[in-house]
Amino acid sequence: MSIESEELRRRTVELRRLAEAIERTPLMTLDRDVGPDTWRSPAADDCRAQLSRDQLDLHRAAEDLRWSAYRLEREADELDVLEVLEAAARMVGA
Amino acid sequence: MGAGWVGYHPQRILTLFARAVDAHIGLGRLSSDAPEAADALRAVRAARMHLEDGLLAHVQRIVRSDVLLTPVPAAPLRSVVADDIAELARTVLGGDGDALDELHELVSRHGDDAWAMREVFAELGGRGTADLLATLGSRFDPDDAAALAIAESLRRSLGDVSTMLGVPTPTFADDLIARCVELRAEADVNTAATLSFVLRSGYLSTDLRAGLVGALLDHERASREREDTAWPGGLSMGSVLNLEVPDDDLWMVDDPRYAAMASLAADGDAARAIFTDPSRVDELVSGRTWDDGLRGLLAAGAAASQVPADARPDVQEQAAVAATQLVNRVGGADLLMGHRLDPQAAESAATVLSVHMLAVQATVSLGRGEVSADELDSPELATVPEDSFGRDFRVAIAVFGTTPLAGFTRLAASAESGVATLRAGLSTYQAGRADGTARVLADDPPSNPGEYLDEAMFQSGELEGYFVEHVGHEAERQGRSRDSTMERWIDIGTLSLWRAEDAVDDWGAVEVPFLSETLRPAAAIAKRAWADHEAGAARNAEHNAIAASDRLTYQYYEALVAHGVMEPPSGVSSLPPFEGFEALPMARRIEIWTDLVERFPAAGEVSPNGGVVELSLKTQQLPYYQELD
Repeated sequence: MSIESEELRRRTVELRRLAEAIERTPLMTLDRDVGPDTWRSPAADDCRAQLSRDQLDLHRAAEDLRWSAYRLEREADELDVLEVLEAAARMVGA
Repeated sequence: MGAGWVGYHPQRILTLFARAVDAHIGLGRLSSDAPEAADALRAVRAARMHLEDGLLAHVQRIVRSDVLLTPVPAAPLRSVVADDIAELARTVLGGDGDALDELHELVSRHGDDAWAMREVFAELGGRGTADLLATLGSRFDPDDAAALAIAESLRRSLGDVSTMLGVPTPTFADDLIARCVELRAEADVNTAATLSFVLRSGYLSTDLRAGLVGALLDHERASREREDTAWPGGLSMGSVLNLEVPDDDLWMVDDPRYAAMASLAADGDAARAIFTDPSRVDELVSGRTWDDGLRGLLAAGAAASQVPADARPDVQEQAAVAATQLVNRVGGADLLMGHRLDPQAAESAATVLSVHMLAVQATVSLGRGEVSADELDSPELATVPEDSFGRDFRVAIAVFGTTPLAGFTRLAASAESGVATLRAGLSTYQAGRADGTARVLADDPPSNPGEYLDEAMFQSGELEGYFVEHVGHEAERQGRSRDSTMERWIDIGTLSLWRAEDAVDDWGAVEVPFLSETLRPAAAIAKRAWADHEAGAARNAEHNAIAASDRLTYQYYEALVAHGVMEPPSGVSSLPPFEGFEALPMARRIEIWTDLVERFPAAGEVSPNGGVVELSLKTQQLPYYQELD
């Protein structure tokens, strides 16, 4: 495994960790506590709407992170295959 | 929802408040060093800011308002409990020891009921609370654990009440301090220890904490102006409230200012409320001596001066104002002459400089003069370009006068831990500066990119040289070996290409062909500039300049390659961070470095000029070596 592919795999793990951490942050379940049975006013409606938008943005961000992790993992796989092929070619040449 | 409920459910809104605070903290903890995470972290910061400015702010106002109090169904019961506790407190104040156990039981049972305890504190007021705590501390059998247990429970409740529901009465902090001042002459109570006890609480709200410390400082200023002693020592009684204090720290409890500083150090917002108030900072700095080697003062000042990178702009500006007050007043005061400096004070000072390195750079590079007393009384921040955010982006920064900055830097360098903190802060800043410069060259290049790069590298070199000079100067003053300190300072980040070849001799004697191309222009200029100076001074300055400038030059190469401004060396896709580069086998390091410095820039490409960095470094540190020679 090359230094480059190791680095890519490290970032893959890091991105998946962050995606999971984002989805587990208490903000993602805060809507359960802010319903009309807790608080009713125009400001409350605005806050609920904003919270909903932010939760959606964070879900998308987590998905994007997983997609980036997937691409990095593919890239790392390709680098590893290339390295094996180069090593094989060197052995045949020798 | 029951009748009388006006848009909020009291218990649920409290739960919502607590969970919103958790959510805010949770978002603040999310971070990543992966470049692909940048967009996600931006979304996280945006959500956190929306929460802070929207839901959290609204709910906090509701929680602290009376509208929540009035319709709480159990209000009558709470009032009864509050009345009972307040009545028992008065009995205890009258010296009736038999009431202690009953009060203990009631406070233990209801101390967590913030609503009831709010009524207790509102009824007692700041004065009654001071009386009660001072009495509990001094007028009962020290072996009776109930007195200390009640005091601890009351302190905890006061923290909860102030955090959840606000300060019990508008003048609570002022009244509590005023009563302690009145009682300080009494022979049988120790109000200084009482105040220290209250201020040691980890639970006070920012408003109450800042209110108490502010009122305390105002009292001390008034005492000083009357040439009176703020907290008479020697005659004071012991206090059971001191039982929680380690023996080594007992000497501090009779002077509540030490607890006040520790309290501010734990709450940056409260610290900023004090350190942005010119008269109160003046009282802290010029009003007295500090027997803890400035440890507490600097810890509080450091808390005031630093905020998270994603803090609101107005909070960041308050931190810059606090740093302006701290550095100019402490660095320029006689305070530094009259104190044995504590190593932790040095570390706190180094933290302040590290956080405000852009302001240090401005003073060093622009040759700013002094900051007058009038200017400190109504400080204005400076604005400078900050390339990290784009070429024309400007930020507000602290303003440091040349002389106080030098004094404060010497304070930071007065202990090994301060030197290490400074080195780490400076390296982070230099890497950020190189990255910002490279980003501008990649995304929004100026008309003369080469000149722009030279200017940035020159300023980086000036800053490095400024610290080399002051760290060495302080090492000399402290009796530590000047040259070994300087070498250690530089060594942390020195490009160690030559170590194996060069282990037995001084650096200047070794010819390094692949570096000479980079250094020759600066060496020629420096030689002319130093024609009249002592050879030894020049050689030492050159030694240090070469070592430090190579690291800086590498950082610029790394950033330029990372942003695509320069092609990477053959065989690699990007340059590793400096520490990674140093870990490579020597042959590989030489190969990469040679590739970088010997290449001719392609059309439209810029290339770092290490000689520029080296020259600015030498210029900054030369006066110091001349002084020594």
